[in-house]
Amino acid sequence: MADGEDRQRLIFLLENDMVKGKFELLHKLFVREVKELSLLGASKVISADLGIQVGIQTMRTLRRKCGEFDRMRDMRSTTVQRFGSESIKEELNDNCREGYQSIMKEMDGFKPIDVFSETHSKPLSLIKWADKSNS
Amino acid sequence: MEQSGVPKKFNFIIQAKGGAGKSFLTYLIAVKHEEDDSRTFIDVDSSTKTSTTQLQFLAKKEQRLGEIDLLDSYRKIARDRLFDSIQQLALLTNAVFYLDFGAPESEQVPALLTIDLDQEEFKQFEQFLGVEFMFHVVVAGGTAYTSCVDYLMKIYKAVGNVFPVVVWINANTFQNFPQQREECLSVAKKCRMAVESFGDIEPNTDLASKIISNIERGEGSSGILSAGWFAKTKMEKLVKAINI
Repeated sequence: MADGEDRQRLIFLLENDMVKGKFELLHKLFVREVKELSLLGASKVISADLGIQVGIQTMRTLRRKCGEFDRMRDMRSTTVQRFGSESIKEELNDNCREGYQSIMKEMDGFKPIDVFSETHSKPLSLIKWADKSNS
Repeated sequence: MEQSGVPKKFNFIIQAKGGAGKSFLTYLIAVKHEEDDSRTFIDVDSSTKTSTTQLQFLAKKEQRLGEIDLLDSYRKIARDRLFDSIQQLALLTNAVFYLDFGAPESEQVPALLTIDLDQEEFKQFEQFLGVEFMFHVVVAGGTAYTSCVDYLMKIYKAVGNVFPVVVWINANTFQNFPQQREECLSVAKKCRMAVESFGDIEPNTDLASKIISNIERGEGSSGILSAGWFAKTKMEKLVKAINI
């Protein structure tokens, strides 16, 4: 199911409670499970496949990120379609051309996958202990 | 995920009506099992954090008292965050967990078990973790009675076919409402729900004030000693009457 190297990286990240890169790999390897199964179902299937627990909260976050990713990808393709067609290019006057070039420049280097590397991921432990021990 | 022969137990103490006695019940259970380090108490009340305050006597020991915040970054309740919290708790060595839900969190529980998952899926979740879930619904009498029973029935419809539901009658609130008590017992009997009673103490008395004061200070069984022999004896009776 999963590509070997990415899979090993993902297991390493999960085992060591590392967040950076986790969602990119989960998306790459398990997007179908996350989109098509229930949160619990996806959690069970992915946990079984990787041999390490991947919780429902992670599935929830990943599903939200998948939604953001799809929206950004659609937006990009619409924008490129609108501004990239030859007929529009021909119709542009000098003023518009500058604006067009500016928009296209902004699109350079745009990577929809960036939504997966945002830094506001929740800390892994959801339990705060009164004795200050880690869960 | 279950490691030993005996499945871990998760007790959800719930009621969407505020002031029904959820945290009082949780306190009595905590005092009853004060010396049992395998029992963990979790405050799932983001707004008042009552149990976090009242169960401070457990905070000296490791992983006896904790809290879970179900609010997301927008300060709205993320119902499914509960699932992950339960998964995390299930990985601990502790054997029994008591989760004291606040009123807003309790209100979300029926939706959690009907919209996000149905009770069969929740049962699968229980089996996946190798644990046992039990729902404890607190019911108060008087003006709170109708809301409390409405909520009880919502929970019963949501999980009653698959999980044990225990009705906890807050005895002092029924003192002037014997008919409500009878009706509540009748409803529980029809639905084959177990019934327990707690908190049989005359409200607005010096004795009650002393006990409440001890609870609010977050002191356990030793704290009540300073309130005198009578308060200590009454407290012991209240704790002994708890069957959980």
